Order: sequence, then C-alpha cells, then structure tokens
Amino acid sequence: MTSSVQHNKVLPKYFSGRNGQMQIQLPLSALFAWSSVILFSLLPKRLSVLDFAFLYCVILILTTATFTVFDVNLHYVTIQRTPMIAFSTIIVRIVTIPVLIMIAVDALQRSEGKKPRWFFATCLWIGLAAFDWILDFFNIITYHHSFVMHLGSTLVMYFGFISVSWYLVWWYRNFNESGLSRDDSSDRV
Amino acid sequence: MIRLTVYDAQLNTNEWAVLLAVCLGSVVVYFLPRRFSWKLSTLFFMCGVTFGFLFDHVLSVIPISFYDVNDRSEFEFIDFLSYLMYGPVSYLFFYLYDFLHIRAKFSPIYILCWALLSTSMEWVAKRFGIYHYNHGYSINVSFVIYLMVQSVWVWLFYLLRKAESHT
Repeated sequence: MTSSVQHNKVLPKYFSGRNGQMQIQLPLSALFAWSSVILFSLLPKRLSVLDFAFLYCVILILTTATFTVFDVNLHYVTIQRTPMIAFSTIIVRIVTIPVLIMIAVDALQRSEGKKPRWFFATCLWIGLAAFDWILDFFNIITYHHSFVMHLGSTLVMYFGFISVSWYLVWWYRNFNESGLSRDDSSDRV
Repeated sequence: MIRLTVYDAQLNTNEWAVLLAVCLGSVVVYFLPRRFSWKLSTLFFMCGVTFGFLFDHVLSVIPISFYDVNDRSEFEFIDFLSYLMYGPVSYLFFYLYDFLHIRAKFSPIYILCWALLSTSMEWVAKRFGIYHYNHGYSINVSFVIYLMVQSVWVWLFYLLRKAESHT
C-alpha cells in the first residue's frame, strides 16, 4: 500500500481536490517558493552573482536528473500527472529546492574570515528532508515505500546534493585565468 | 505514472550522432580563440545544458511527456550525453553575439536566426532518432521555445557580463 493512500485518511477532502473543490497544492507550493526566495534575499551572501548562477545550474541539473530517475525509471517517488499538481511540482523543482540548497551551500562557504555556518546548513539539510515529507503529505509527490526508508534516503539524497554542489562551487571559485584550479589557501584568512 | 515506450534497443544512428555532436562541439569550443573569462565561459556552456535539462526533464515530462529522448522514455546515460550537446550551442550563441558586437536593438534578428538554426538542428536530430514527439507536439512548438529561451540568454548575457565587471 502506498503512503498516499494512508494520507487520504488524514487529509480533509478539499486538500485532494475532489468534486471540483479547491486544491491546496498549488497555493502551498507557491507559498513555499515565495518563502524560500524571501529567505534567500534577506540572508547575507558569501558567494558572488556568478557563483550563484553556476550553483543554480549545477543544482538544477543534479536535482532534475535524480528526480526523473526516481519517478520515471525506479517509480520510487512518483508525481500525479494532473495539471495542478504538475504545476506545483514544477514550482518546487525550479524554485524552492534549488534555492534552499543554494542557501545551504552559501552558508558552508569560507569568506573574509567568516567560518562555515555548519549548524544553519545542517538545519537546512534536515529541513529539506522534512519539506520532502510535507510534499508527500499534501500529495504533491507520492512515496512508494515506508516512511523510515524514505526519511533515510531523502537525507542521503540532500546530503549528496549539498556536498556535490559545495565541491563544484569550491572548484568554480578557485578557477584562475589559466583555467586550472588554484590552492584554496588564499581564501582562508 | 507515465507510459514507458521503447523505440529501439541498439547502439545505432542516434547514439553515434549524439557522441559525434558532443565531440565536435567540445573541439570547436576548445579551439575557438578566447573571448571571455573562464568563469563566464563555463557559465555560458552550462546555460545550454541547464536549459536542456529544465525543458526535457521538468516542462516536457510533467504533466504530459511531450517528447522522449533517444531509445526509451526512461532516463539513460546517453540522454545525459545528449544534454551536453546543448552546451556548445549556447557557448557559440554567446560567443558570436559578443564577436559580432550585436547591438541590443538588433538582438531580435540575431535571436530569430539562432531559433531557425536551432530548429533545423532539432529537425536533423529528429531524423537521427534522438527526439520522438508525442501528444501532438511538433517542431513548430520547439521553434517558439527556442525564441523564448534564446531571448532569456541575451538578457543573461548582459546580466552576467555586468555581474562579472562588478566582482
């Protein structure tokens, strides 16, 4: 039995949008996207605009490829193909998740004598896993395995996204004009 | 859950076309005289790959799979390589835009030319079996998408150049 079936018992009827009633998924996704963008704009940044542009490209490629494999190849986490839920998923995938990962990676950067904010990045990492569970709760995505298995795999997945994008940004920031990566010691104060 | 389709299961024209396009594109990008910093060049290359992923994995798959790439509707390694084909295209787009000193008011003509060129390349790719259209999708839709994406690229060109000059 899928977990989405279990959730239908908990959620009020109007959440699932049956009988022409309002669907909560789209406004909720938009709210999460708006909140993540506001959080991103309010926080002090350690990376430059070019670094953020590169980071967004990397995260979008990583996440879309992984989510497609989970959905289309493995049927591990699937998406309902209804227009409202599809649009909600697109908002989450293009805005919310990349922006939250960008905030976490930015927090882990060393800059001008500032130490990486490990606690904040860890909170975001756990927050991303919780956010995935919220998406399942509101039927935006559908888990096909147990909650514990999903919690573990989601934590591993987001840890992977943050680690890989952190490393690639480190490499990008240390590009010198010969195209070779220089030692990062000059960045450490 | 989406319907899974297998178009072919052999190493044939589409795979060779992808490999050839990636190799040829990479050689062209590598041997072109430098016009941008390495950081900007990397971003210009990544633009194509990112927009390819964005459209092929998010907008074309959800809610309906408007087209499949290569042999199966599932994601394969050759699909990943086929997105790398977009990298040299975007790099050349930015390179020529800068090389030809296109003024902003003439950029719509430049975008139109590139949209026509990109549509022609997609038509060739479709003939090689790289793209398989579904649900009434046609190359005309791709033309409109290229127009929009390449307009965003022109905006990104000015934005990223400005950002670089401020760092």
